[in-house]
Amino acid sequence: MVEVTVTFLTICFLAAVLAGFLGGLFGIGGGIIIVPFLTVFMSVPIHDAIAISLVSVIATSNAGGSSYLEQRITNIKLAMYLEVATTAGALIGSVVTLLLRSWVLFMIFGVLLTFVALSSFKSRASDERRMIRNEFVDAKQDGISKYLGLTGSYFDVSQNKQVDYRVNGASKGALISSFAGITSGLLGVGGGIIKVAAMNMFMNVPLKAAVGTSKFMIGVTAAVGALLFFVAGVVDVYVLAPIALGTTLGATLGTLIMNKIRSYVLKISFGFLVTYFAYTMFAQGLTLAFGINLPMLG
Amino acid sequence: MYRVLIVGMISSTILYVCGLLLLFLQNPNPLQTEITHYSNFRELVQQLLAVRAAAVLTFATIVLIATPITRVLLSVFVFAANRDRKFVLITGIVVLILLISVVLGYFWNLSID
Repeated sequence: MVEVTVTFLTICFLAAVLAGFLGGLFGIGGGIIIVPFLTVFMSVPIHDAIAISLVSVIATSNAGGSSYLEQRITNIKLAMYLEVATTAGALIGSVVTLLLRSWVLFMIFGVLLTFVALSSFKSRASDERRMIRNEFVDAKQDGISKYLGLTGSYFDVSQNKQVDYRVNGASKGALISSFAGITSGLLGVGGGIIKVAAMNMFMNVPLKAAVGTSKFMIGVTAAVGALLFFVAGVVDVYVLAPIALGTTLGATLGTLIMNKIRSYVLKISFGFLVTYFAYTMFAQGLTLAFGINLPMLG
Repeated sequence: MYRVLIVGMISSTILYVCGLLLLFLQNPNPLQTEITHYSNFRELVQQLLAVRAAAVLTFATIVLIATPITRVLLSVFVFAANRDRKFVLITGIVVLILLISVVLGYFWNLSID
């Protein structure tokens, strides 16, 4: 039982603004911040935290996704194709969550955070090099991609030119996307990082188009798990309200300034924050499973 | 299509703000939350008409979750209007998965009561 006071709601709201802001800035849903925050700092049971986070991820996606659609960066056909994989995965993930014990969820979440932390310390391979070599246009489409006509084009403002691309690796991309879906339903996150990686690294989609398309998909992917949890009656609307409001506000701000700042320092500090959360989730899992108490550092 | 997302976002935001305000008007003291869930739609509508905070917050949540789902349903019609059979099928599968999640959630709800 959580005691809902004005202070409790205010803290939740402020943390959610930060999570939404970082989410908009780094192209993630913000769930990877919401769940550790609610469980470790606000003592919300992890199953409840996952359900709350998943619904708030929809709010982030609504806020961020619409601006990419407006700028015509989103590849709608590609999104529809991959959504089959992500929603199927999300269905499996959310059912499994209801069946798993808390400490197992803490451990799996810790693993996810570790990966996110590692990837934020590593710099991304440059898209510009691939554009100069015309890799995006010259790629040979695979069978599925050709059958569905998966090609795309968007106007890149920072480079001041039209970027065309042809999708390949459609089956590999779908496989990785289904894994992103499982993660979403299982842990209450959007899974955007995995989707962006699948499109950019394996399907020949330029990074900006991948981020826009991923944002668009996150809403539907999260809706599968959110719908299941909501109908199952495990969503606590009192805690959800400030979180959803905060992430919406934060995500709107984050998306607005995303194109204006390129701060290396910000990315590194984000990496440290996620590393810290990974540690606390493992610590919590160990306490629940074996009664081992690691120092919580905070 | 992005209008659907914006309308959904704005209306759920307004509902959440109203719900929270009502919560503190109706319960000035700190309260223990029990996850409020309505076992049927009629109960929710009755509570909504009585302007209960929990009902307003629940309705806000429904609007929020419905937003991306409306977007999917709309695109089924758009693809159908363009006679794009392949994508009507693909989007139809997504709709089917959404339906399955409602059914599974419903049975889970029954099993814990």
